[in-house]
Amino acid sequence: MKPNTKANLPAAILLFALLMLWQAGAMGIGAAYILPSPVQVLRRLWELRGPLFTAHLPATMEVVFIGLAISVALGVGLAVLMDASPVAEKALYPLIVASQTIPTTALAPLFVLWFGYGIWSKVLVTVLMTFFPVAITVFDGFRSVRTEMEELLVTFGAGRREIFCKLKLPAVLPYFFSAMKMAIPLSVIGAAIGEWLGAQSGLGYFSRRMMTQLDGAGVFAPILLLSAAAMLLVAVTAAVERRVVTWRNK
Amino acid sequence: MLDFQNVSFQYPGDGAPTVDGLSFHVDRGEFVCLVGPSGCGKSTVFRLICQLLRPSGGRILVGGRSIDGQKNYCGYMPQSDLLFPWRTVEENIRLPLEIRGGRSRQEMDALTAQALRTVGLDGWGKRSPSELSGGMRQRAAFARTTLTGSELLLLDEPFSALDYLTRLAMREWLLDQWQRERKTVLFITHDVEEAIFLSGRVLAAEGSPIGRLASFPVPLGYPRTVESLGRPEALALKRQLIAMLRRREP
Repeated sequence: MKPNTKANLPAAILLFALLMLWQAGAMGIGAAYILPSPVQVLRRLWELRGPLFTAHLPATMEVVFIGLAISVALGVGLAVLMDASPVAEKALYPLIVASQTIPTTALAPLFVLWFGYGIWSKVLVTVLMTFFPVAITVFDGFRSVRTEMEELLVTFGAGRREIFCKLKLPAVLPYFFSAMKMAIPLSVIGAAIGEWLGAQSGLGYFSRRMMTQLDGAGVFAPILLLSAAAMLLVAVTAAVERRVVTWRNK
Repeated sequence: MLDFQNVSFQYPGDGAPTVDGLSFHVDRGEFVCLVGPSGCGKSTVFRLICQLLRPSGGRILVGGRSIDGQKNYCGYMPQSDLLFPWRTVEENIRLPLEIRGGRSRQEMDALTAQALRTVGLDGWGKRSPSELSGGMRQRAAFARTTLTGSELLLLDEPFSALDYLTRLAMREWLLDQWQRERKTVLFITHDVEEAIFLSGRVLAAEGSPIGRLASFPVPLGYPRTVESLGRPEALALKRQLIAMLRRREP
């Protein structure tokens, strides 16, 4: 733990300096509805803890988890399919890459029209934002598998299923975790954007409502919570990765 | 044990064949080295034997039968050890047994433990391959090859990446293994001295494409030591082989 603390020291110092700068700037402007200070944001977070933690955080996390689950299933599924069939790769890969040029944020209001104010319009935004890094990164993982290793298994008499289970699956795990660490923050952003555009609960929705009330600190408080949730999820994923992928960097 | 009958092979897109009408024979229990300049197609011969490549003409027989439809008739040990980093040493060695199937866990454990003992890696089974030295990794890879249970072992420059002293030690170690097990070994190398030290007979590629292999019996008995290479008849063969390989270089 100690070397880790030391390694993070420069970042901590810089963060503290930036927060100080923000605080000083906010105090100089003196208009909380334009730029609330960090202290005001924290205070507001504490005041609003009831609705934020019991209603809006769970609503957003529900979208995040459902969206992530669908993205992982879809992304890994597409990667497996593209790895198994060159035709599928030729057909899908360019489309998957091109799909990223679609401005999801701009389309999101349409999803509200289609799916209403319920959870599924937000889940769709989340999925559209997160399945791409999962599909592409996991597919890169499949491509990184050394041909010699595959051939070695073939000489042992292995079929496609054994090559997949004994070689490709473990080889792709580090890539999978990298994909997850990219997808988690994106899924939180996706959920928040979805809620921003139309929802009845959730941190994105709450932030927007505070904006209509010119409550600057109230806008920031749920955003702070969103970031914290994303960081916590990434940290948990990294911890799981360290337990599972013991061979990385060896 | 191994027969090539007029075998030809051409890589798709290549103007000329890599193997052209090649015929040779290796007896059961023989240790034969295949020497030739780098890039002359020695490894292609191995890949044909393992059915990683299909000959465009001719027949390959192992044990008097065509290799078509035969399984587990050869153990292939590639240039790099290709130990899977996510498996422990013993899990790596067990791979051919797992793929072949039909054995209980206890049987596999017993065979793996025995193979580890034979290659002098007793007590290293639970370690990660990254904890092993270069020579130990090659010994582990050799143990894995022997657990294919095949009578014919194909070793493709297995010691070329090792430092000089380790290489010397590994050569003696390999001869020791061979004398104990008396499997048929076909060993690829571009090192003439290594070929003379190891084999009962040297097959030298007469240029590219490989069409004819010149056969040179090694005038040394077993067991051999590094000093055996200083014998006049060994030196004469070395000069002869080098002169021949030099002529072939462009």
